[in-house]
Amino acid sequence: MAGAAEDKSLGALFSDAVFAVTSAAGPWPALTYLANAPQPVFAPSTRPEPGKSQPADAAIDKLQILAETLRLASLFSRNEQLDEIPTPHIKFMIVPYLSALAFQAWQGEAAERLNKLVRCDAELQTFFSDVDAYALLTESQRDYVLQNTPEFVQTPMQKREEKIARLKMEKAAEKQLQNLMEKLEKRSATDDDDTDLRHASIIVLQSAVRRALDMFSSLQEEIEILRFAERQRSKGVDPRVKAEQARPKRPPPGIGDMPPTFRIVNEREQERAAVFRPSHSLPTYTIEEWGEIEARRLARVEREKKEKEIAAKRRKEDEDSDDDEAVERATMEARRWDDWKDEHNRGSGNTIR
Amino acid sequence: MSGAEVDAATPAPPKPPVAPVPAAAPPAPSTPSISLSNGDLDRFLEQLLSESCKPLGEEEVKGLCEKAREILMEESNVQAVSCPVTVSGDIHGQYHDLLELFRIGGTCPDTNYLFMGDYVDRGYYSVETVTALVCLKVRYPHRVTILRGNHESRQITQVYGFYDECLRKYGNANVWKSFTDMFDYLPLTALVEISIFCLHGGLSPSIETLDQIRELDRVQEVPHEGPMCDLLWSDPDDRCGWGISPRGAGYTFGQDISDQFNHSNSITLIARAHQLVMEGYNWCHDRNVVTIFSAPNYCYRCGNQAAIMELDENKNYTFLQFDPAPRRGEDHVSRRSPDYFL
Repeated sequence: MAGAAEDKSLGALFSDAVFAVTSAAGPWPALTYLANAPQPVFAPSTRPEPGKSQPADAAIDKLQILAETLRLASLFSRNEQLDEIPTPHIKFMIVPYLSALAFQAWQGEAAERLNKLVRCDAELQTFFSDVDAYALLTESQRDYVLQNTPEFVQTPMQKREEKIARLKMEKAAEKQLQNLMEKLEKRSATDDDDTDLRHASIIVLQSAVRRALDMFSSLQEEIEILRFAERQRSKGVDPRVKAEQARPKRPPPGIGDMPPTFRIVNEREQERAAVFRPSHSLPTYTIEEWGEIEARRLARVEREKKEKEIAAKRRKEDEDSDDDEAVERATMEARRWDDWKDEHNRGSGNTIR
Repeated sequence: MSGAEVDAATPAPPKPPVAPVPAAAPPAPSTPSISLSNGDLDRFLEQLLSESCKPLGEEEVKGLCEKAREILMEESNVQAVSCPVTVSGDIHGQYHDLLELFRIGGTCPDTNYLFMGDYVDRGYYSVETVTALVCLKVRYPHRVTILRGNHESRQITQVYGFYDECLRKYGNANVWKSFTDMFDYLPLTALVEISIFCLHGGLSPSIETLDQIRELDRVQEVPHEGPMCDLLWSDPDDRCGWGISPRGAGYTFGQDISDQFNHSNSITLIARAHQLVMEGYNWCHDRNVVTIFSAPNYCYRCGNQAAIMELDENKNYTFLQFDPAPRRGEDHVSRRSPDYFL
């Protein structure tokens, strides 16, 4: 068990780090309260200039120091249950997630951003495996985030429902935290019953798990996009130039007297039908229907064949009788064929024998 | 040979008293890098070529296709084939009829085979059919020749059934991808004993000689136009010269064209598939061209016979016709009616 002095210095480091993270990634009042950190100075809209340090850089540095200190203090053991951990230590379990937040908040050039996101992913993995040791993940969540199994495929409907459920839980947790914080605010300094504080810490931790799950899926998508862009760049394709080229050169033609930019969009049904459909074109008739089409064609071909045979017979008879014109035609044909053969040697087209 | 009728167009020479020894196979090519032993392949074939055919696993198909690709890569656009050989037309996923074909024509390696494309789509067993044929090709590379048909293509198989069948049987498109990637390497045509020219579709206005075919770059998806497309899509026609094909790809060609092509290349016969014909085979262009179709009762609807063309050592041809394979499973069930009802 770590000494009280050590706890105190860890507390100071934690509070420092929380301030840095919330300044870089956005406010989180419950966490700020828990860490006893100053209110963050968060300016989400500013785009950092390349080369200059940004709030996320400071947060990343601070969290690295904190994580290292925590590692040396070895506060957690894998064979403990959640209720065996002393109250002041619970909040430290959030640290890997905070690191992930800091990496994700970093903005800038795509290749470096990809680096940061890969590290963000690693931090999330650490966080998930840590909290999983305390049974804070459900079965399917564990499959999804820890093994990242490709079999884990959710329908868009399931995804949506899960998101809604998560949001509702988040709302409820916020309310609960509000009450707890008020209660904690009111209690006297000498009161050393830490039930409420412990409860608040656990709620914050659970909320971090939910946020981390949300972050995880969008993170995977972004990594994939950045990797694709990387590959394109290495092939010499600039995605921005390509997108510019793909953009239509002039607006679509107008209807009647309407200006070209004015269009009546009457394709709602069409668009809706196009939402759920396979990526390939589907057969337009069944095999039986095709069989019938083929059978009809076959019957027609057979009929035509018979008619032609009869016609050929008649012609042959004409030629056999002394029809000068037919004889003439046959002679001309034979002569032309002989001429052609004179110009084309038999077998000249196939030199490999 | 139940149900098989024989049309001896040229009198076949009397069969030798002992079973004919198939033409000596040249020594095996350098061993491909993928480890699929003949034992594995024999096991696959045993699993596949039975009535209760069970498709191979995804990984097995992948390995098989890679090995097939290595073999096909070495073959020519005009693959040389020697007699005796049995020539077969479209199969179209009618797997039980393929088994019937082997019962009538003989099994590999006792009979050499030349298949002229269209193994997949339409029928309900494209996966089994194409796996078995590719397996035979890999096991007996010098006794079996498989050509490309217009259905051995990514675009066509997505519309006409093979893609959906792969999804249905494997749950994903990996097997479809393995096969269609391999299809790009299939030879376009074959030449039996330098006199019988075999291909799926027909002639092309951009091609007058076999040498021109040899120069094509065939390793690609079947294009929408051009010589490679025409070879897989064209049909013979009664009208002279070149015509527009009702299929939307390839051309129709008249007897004057086949006369010229056969003369220039010293060919006696063009054997092709691609068209449904009632008797299973059909002569045209004054016996310059023969169409062979090997899917009986096509699409389980058309009531046509199927045929294969046997060429013996002396290039004499015999057509073997056959009807749809009896549904063995159903027969078995009906025979087992319990006797206490009698």
